[in-house]
Amino acid sequence: MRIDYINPFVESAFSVMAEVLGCEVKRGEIYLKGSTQTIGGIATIVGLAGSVEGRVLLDMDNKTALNIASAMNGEKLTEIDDLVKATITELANMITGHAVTRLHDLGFKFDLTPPAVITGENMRIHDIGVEALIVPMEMPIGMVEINVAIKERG
Amino acid sequence: MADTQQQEEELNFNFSAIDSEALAKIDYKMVTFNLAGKDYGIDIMTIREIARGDRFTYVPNAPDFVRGVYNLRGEIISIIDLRRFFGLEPQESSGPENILISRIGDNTLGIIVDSIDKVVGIDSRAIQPSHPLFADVNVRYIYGIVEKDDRLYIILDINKIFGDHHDAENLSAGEPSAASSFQAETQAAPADAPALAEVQAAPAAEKIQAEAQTAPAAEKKEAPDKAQTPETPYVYSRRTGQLWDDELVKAFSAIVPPKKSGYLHIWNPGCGKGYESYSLACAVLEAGIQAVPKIYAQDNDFAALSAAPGLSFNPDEADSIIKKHLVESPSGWRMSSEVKNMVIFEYRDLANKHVFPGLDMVVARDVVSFLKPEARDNFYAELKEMAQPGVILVLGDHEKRPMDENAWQPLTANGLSVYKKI
Repeated sequence: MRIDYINPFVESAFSVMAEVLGCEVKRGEIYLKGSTQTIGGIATIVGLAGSVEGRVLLDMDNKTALNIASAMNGEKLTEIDDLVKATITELANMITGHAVTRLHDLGFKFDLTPPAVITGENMRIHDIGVEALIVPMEMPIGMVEINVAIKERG
Repeated sequence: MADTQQQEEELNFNFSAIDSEALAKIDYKMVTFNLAGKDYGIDIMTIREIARGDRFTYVPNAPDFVRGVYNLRGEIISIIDLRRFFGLEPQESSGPENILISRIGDNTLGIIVDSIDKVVGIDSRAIQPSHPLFADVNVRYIYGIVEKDDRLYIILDINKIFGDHHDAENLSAGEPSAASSFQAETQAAPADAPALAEVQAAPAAEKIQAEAQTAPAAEKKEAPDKAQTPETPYVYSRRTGQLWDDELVKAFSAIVPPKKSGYLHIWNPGCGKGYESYSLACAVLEAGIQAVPKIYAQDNDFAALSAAPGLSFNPDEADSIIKKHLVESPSGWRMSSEVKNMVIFEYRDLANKHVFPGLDMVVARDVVSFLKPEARDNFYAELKEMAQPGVILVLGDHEKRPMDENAWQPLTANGLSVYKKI
């Protein structure tokens, strides 16, 4: 993944989550993976297009998703229902959007695609021909992994 | 820093002269010693004591740098000879040897050195990464370099010495090149000589730039796939870690494929801080080809790579061809935007598959020798898949022969290891 893209994503994930959740966010060490085993629970995927092809994935378990959705909606949620899914999707949108804005300021023009939510246990993500950059974000309410895979367009 | 200034002023008021060094904090202490004329240091926290001894019990089938075992007040510890460990000229010992007793966790190791000096305290911020030219001792074991009181100390990474000594012991010398079941498991497995780019010197040193401070998921750091005992230190290609001189630039511009249209895609794995990539870009411009050049400069060393896009240079150290492409900016001399736009720095792990939009040239100097088997296999697989006839491959000056000999024709090119896909 192009080095110039990395920091905007890392910084955006950090600042959006810290702001929206109001809790302490700790960034784990970033690393690369050829194929990923997701945490299991909920994953949101936002596509990237333009001068690059790729996607951003937000990956967390159900408990963390409920905690995040509860914090964002200001009420205690106990079930993964449409509201929770919509909230998590919104979070993914915010992080990706924030990153894309920063990248735009750096001269890279990306477009976002509408997000999708995927739920299930033991999900595996496999990208063809592109590595994923994993940014683990640790918070008291749980852990979220930002999973970004971007490839330059011919 | 205002506080320090204030402090300085207050102290100056009372004393005539203050050594500004005294204000630097001492947060790293090392035991210094001498080996083959050079000063070294090891973190004092890992040194248990110092001993002198000469009665070591020989251990059969141990690697040659293991002098034997020693009875240290009832505890039996391995003793290694650091000269032999580093592949230096062994010295005829007369009488008791000077031994540093080092302990990490449950493991204790005795290290024989020429002479032990003293404890030196330094500010850890003053430690600099090792310079490629220092490669007469295996760079892998160097944690950094520091200067104190006009002396230069090479700080060794004791963990690596422990680790490698362990692996080497477990492998138990004897048949270094025999393909055994150990090969798959331990990192210290001997290099698969036939399949790999043959190196003149056993590549025991780790790639310098691979001192990733961003740590550790499993794939992160490409540890060397090396022969188990270092024979001679690895010799890096010309101008590694520096801008190229005119001669090297011209040698490269002579081999750039003269593509007339579209893009000229160049793959540059192991780019490190970017000196090679930028120099390569200048060489490509010098060749004056008509296609639009794009250099994919890749490395898995995040720290080095982050510095690459904003790398600044000293114009006085640049030779004439490259100097043409340097421009002055508020933050120092940088590469011109023409050059910068040609190079795309990418953070990637060679063990993972990566797809290129066409490939015309590969510049992989001193990379293959340092790849773990998985990464190396993937590298060759990608090369095989993507390189059409006519693709130019450049390996390190001392790396010979790509894996698939029949597919690559060697070209004679000014001391470079160049091959053309047949």
